Amino acid sequence: MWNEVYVEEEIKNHPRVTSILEKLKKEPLFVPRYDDIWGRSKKPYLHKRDSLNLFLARKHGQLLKLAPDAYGSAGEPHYYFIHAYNCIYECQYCYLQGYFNTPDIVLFINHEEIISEMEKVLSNHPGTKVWFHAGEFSDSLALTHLTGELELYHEFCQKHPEALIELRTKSVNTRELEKLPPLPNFIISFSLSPEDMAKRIDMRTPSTKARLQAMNTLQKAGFKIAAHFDPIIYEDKFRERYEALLNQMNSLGLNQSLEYLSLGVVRFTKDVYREVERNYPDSVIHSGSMVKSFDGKVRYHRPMRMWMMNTIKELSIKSGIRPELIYLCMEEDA
Amino acid sequence: MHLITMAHLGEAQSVIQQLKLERMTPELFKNEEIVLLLTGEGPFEAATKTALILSKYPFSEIINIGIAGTLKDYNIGEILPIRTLYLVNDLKPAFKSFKAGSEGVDCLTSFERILSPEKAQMLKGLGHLVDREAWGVAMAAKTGGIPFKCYKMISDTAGTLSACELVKENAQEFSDKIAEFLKTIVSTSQTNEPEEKMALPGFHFTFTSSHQFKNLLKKLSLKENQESAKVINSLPLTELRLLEVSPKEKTRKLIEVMEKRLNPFKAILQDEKDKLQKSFAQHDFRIDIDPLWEKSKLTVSFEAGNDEELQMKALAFKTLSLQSFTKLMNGEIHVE
Repeated sequence: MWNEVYVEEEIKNHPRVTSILEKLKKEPLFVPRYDDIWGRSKKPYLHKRDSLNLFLARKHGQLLKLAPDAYGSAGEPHYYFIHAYNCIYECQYCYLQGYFNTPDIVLFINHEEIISEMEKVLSNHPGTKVWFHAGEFSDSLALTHLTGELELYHEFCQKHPEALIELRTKSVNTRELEKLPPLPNFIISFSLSPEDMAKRIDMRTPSTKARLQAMNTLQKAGFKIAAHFDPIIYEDKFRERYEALLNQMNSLGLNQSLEYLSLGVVRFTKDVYREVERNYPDSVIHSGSMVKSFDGKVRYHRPMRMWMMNTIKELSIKSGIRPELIYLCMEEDA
Repeated sequence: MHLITMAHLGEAQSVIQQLKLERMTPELFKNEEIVLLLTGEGPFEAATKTALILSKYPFSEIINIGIAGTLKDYNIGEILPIRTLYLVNDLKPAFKSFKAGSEGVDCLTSFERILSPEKAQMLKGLGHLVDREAWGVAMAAKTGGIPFKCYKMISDTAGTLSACELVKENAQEFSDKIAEFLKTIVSTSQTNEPEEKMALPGFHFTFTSSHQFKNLLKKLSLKENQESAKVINSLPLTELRLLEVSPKEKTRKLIEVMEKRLNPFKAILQDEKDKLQKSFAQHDFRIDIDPLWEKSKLTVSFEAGNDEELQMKALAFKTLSLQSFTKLMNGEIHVE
């Protein structure tokens, strides 16, 4: 899977690095700093298919970022923590293809420092629930069999009931998670698209059916689960397909146990849109006409995306999801 | 006219003979269709020499070809197309990279010869091959806006001290192979077919409508996930052919049908906009809606010459409503 594995000299004896290297069974290359190599040159995104490098590094600088408005459910502060850069999956709409200069993956190993930052944030918000999201720059479960950090974040949640951690994923790699006892503030959220659409746009990811199965497994084990219908992409049968997806979820008893459902219509920054056009010229994404919207992002025009979100919201409520658990992601006046 | 760039005379000798190129200067050889430039080693040297020659001939394509050391397990003598070119200086990659093709391997152009295995090892994650000039040629091609291709023949394993000797010993054989290969690619990259105009019996396509049709066909095919031929078969061609209008008008109607099928919202919005404009126009009001349908407010304008006219307009406002517009902007639409 990995073309080459680079390790920062500073952390070469770190037990987490040793453990990862043992599992990878690959001779690493040692470098002073990961960013001496990573992202230094513009590496085309699709080269991840045949020459994906892995970097093990210590994250310096900002370890947490305040999430933008309308990122999660309203009224509570939201942060995301940066435990990795880039992803093993290849979703055609993924903003990572225009965000970094390279698709090469970095796994940061200084989770203790990230957690210490999270504790500082908590102390700045006394008496408030604070959300910490993983999965903004990488899938939060896909490589957990290698990285072994879940336990630390789980312990943090145990110690701080006022904190909520959300692990966003498309992965069905739940083995490490299942070793931990469920907690009310440790939420696993899955990004879902109707089966046919996922086959077309979520490349190299587990199928929707497999993701639903993973949700079911976790739900039965007592974990808190959530779902993101994001990005929603228009096609002729989009209503029927989302109806089918909600029915699939309902048949597994997921709709009644969701902590929340977020809805987000496909959107891109200008740069990412250009990359999507270049990387996936034959994607279904290009069949809909898009405009530069209120925040400069490229989206369907407002009446269309509001209609799409209303339609899915209505279908979701009809299928048993409580209205107060549904929120619209990254949408003005939503 | 093609510009071929190579680093050294040693690797270019068979190319010069087989393509019957005439020596113009010690670094420049040409026939009627091809100019061969010897750039020497080094990315900046290659960039400068290539850039200088671009103003002298009307090149339609630049091809850099030559030997390279391999960082992976490629066989000596193998010729590989290059996908992306990176520049490395002191083992660190520089920001700019250049695309040379959609398939192939990645080549690192290095400021220095890579003669130690440690150095070669560090570069393995960055590319498959190492050369000394291609990135510079690619930069000049990009600046000049000229299509660029690159091919490299594996001459040695990067990071071995004997690499230079190996290259010298096999120079003639390498040059022969490069010349044979070059003849095939130059002949296949000659033609540049103009876009074919669309033809459907009973319809008349101009270049613009042909382009529109093909574009819509592609988008419909993507949206409906079916082949273009199936999309064409599902279009109401027979019905449109029966219309008593000109073939050009039939094409216009066909494009309308396809646009509506691709984007049913467009027709709905246009219809609602027309209704709204009509109701406001009854009182000589003009409304302007954001053409991108993004702003949830519209502009109403009118003309008045005195207080009486102004009062009349104020009264007329009370009979008008923006409810349909608000509903539209909130997505309350009926879509089939």
